[in-house]
Amino acid sequence: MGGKVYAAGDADEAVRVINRIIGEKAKGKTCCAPILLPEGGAERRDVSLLIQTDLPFQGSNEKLLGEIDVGVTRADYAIAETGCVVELAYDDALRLVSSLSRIHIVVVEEATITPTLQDLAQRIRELVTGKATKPTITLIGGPSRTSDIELKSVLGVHGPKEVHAVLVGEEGGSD
Amino acid sequence: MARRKCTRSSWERRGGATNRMPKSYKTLLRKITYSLAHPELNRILLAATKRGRDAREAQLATLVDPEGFTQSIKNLKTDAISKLDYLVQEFKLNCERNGSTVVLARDGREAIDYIATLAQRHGLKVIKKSKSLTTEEIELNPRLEERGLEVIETDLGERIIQLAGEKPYHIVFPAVHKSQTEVAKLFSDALHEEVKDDLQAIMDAQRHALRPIFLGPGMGVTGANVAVAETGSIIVETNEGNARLITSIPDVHVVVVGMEKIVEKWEDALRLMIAHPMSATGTRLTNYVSMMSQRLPLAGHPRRELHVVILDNGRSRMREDPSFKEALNCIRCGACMNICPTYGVTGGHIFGYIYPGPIGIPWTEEVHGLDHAAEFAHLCIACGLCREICPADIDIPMMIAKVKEKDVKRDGQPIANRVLIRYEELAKIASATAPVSNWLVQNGFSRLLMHRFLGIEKRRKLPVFVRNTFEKRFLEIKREIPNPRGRVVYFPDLTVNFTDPSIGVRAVNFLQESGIEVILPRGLKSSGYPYFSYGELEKATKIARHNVETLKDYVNRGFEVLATEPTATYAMKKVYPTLLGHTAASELVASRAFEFFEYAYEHASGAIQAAVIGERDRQRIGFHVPCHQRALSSGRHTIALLERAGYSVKVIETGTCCGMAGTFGLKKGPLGYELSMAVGRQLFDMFKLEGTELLIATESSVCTWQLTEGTGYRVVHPLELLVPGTPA
Ligand code: SF4
Ligand code: SF4
Repeated sequence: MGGKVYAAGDADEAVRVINRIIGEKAKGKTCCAPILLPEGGAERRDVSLLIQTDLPFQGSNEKLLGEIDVGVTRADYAIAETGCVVELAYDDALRLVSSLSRIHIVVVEEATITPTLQDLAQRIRELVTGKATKPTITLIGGPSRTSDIELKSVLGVHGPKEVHAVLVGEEGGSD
Repeated sequence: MARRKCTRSSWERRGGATNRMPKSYKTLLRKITYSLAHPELNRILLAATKRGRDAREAQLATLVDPEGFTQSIKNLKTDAISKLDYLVQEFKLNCERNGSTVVLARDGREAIDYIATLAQRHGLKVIKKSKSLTTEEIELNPRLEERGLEVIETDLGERIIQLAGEKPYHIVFPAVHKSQTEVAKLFSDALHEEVKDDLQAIMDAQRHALRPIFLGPGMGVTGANVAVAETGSIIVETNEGNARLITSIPDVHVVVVGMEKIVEKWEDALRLMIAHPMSATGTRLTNYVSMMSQRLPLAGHPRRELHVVILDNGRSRMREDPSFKEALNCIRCGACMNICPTYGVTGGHIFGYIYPGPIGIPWTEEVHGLDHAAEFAHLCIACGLCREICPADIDIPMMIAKVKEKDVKRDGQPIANRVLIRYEELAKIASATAPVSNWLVQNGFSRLLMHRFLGIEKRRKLPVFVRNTFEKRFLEIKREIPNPRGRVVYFPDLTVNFTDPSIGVRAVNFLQESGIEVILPRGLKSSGYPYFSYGELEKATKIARHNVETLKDYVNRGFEVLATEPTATYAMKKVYPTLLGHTAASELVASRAFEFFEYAYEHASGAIQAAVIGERDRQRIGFHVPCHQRALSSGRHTIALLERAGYSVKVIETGTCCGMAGTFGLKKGPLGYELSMAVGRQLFDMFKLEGTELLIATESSVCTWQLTEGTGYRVVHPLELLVPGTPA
């Protein structure tokens, strides 16, 4: 997806990987949206509290997030065919964490990888029909880019210059 | 001047020796002359369009079923447009259920009024925009500025043209004509500080200048790439991520969506999501695709609004017009711009009004009027390539011919078109009067007169006419074939009949020696394609009907129809049926019309030999695929046969036209010879790189003239290189 991919065996390893990236890369403030990851059995826990951050996610609006340098979010799906992750947002603050940051770290569960974009049609329909709040669904394919000047490709126009995807699942780990 | 039909007695007089030009041509000629004198302006455009074509082809090749994919895009768009009234209502209803406000704007003024009033009601002075051609169409920015609003484009390309005060040059790369140095200067002036002539510096300047605008107060205005009726959702695709910020931060977000963007279901929308970047830039997916169904809270703050303006602006009328309805299938990918030969050398400010390129011609005519469309419609040389590349399979050349027709009916044809369109009649006279006529066309003084008064370029070498036409020669070579292995009608086009009968003679001998019966029906006319090219559709239709009627009886008796000129086969297969409203006869003839070598490959391929035309020539052939052949076989049978006969064949192509385009390149001046040569230059250079011992082979007669003149190499019809062996 035009970014770096890391494999993590479980939630704890994912936290370590994320904190390491933040430690190496951050030049300013970090904000992490809730990241619910499986905890054995049907349990899930929010690991965002274990991530080193400077900005709280709850209650942060564009004024506060305007200072973000590293944003960490969870993607709900990934699509193999198009090499992108799928973000579901019920509050625009989440979209700002992934779009205002210079470095975006996105956590994806291996089990959510879907073969083709067409597979998403029915899921989208269910998500946005008959519910009080209908999420904004965003496909994210990599760092923000343009080739508007002389066709030369440059990254990080308005959105992230770097995207790091942390893949969590049994196949991962060992890294 | 009274309106008259172009009958034989009046065409000389209409305009006559004064060479009167319709108004639209004068501006156009001036613009082309300027552009041809400044090739550096289009240096990046040419690279961009080539890259776009190559990347698209590579990406398409990764699909399991590329043709099925194109067909599915065409089907879903056709289906959506056919039930558009229902989809608009469904979409509107679902948006409203989601809590958004929806307005149907009949024209640009209604849309602009709504947006301006909305901003004023909220006390917002700044409009932040992401790229939207639909808002360009209604010239939203200047109209809002007139009302005291500040409009800021946030997409880099759009920002550049906004600062430069220009219109988009290309729908996907709006600022592709601006060099990095020019952009650095534009940014320095706008920001009142020096921005270095360095890509990263420009990028940083753009990011820093726009951050406070994204974060500050203002209303967000975007377009939509797709709208989904079943859930009232809108989809915005960007690579830079600017639309994500514009659709999340402002409390008021307005979407301006062209009515034709609405599809019924998510399955359709997801398919288009792949089709857009695939045809536009040859990428798998646009970097960010935002699918929004309602306005979300921001950090819990709930009172935020989404307004959807559905723009009609002529679309409902287009939908009722069978000639232009198909233009609504356009998914705005820009692929037709990437392949159009004359757009490639003139660019979107000449080949365009607000909507540039091939599809820009019918769209401009429909939403901005014939006057604006006529200013660039005649740049189309009817090569047909845009139709072949279009992911929605839109018959763009046919719509362009209709636009030309409207213009020609109103303003008349320039004299050169009037002369050349009657090429068949001229050819008849010239061949009857050869060699006197040939002396006239080769004679410097008469050429000067022709240049001056008829608009035929004096630098162009004109074909030599023969007295002994193919029709006459055919009677001499025709043989009875006992128990034939196949029966065909040979369709000689103009060149074979009047200037180069030897190709027809070879074709007939080839077939007869392969045991195939050949006949030449009486009264068959040449293809009539020039009438189509120059927008004389009534005459083109008349010829189509005549030829279809003539051929139909033979086809019914089991004959197949062959032509050695790709344009003739193309006309029968791709143009006649549309001109004739897809009558059974026209479809029948289309289904039994073939290229010569396509047929030969099936029926005589086992016994092919290289003709002896000199040892040296046997070695390397540079093959040129004429535009109309691209729509047919792309020459694959011919190439296979040449290779089987022992030639080493290399297809040499730029991916677009050689520039001749029928008789277009015979015309004098910028809208003719000069443009034609400019289009061909890249291709000539590619041939020249191959070294002088190369022999060029192509099946089109006009490409032969062009390549001979452009490269100085010997150019032959493949029939000169191949002979049948003993039938198996
Ligand atoms: S037919 Fe050829 S010249 Fe005409 S618009 Fe299409 S691509 Fe351009
Ligand atoms: S006409 Fe076809 S090729 Fe041209 S922009 Fe529209 S969809 Fe693309």
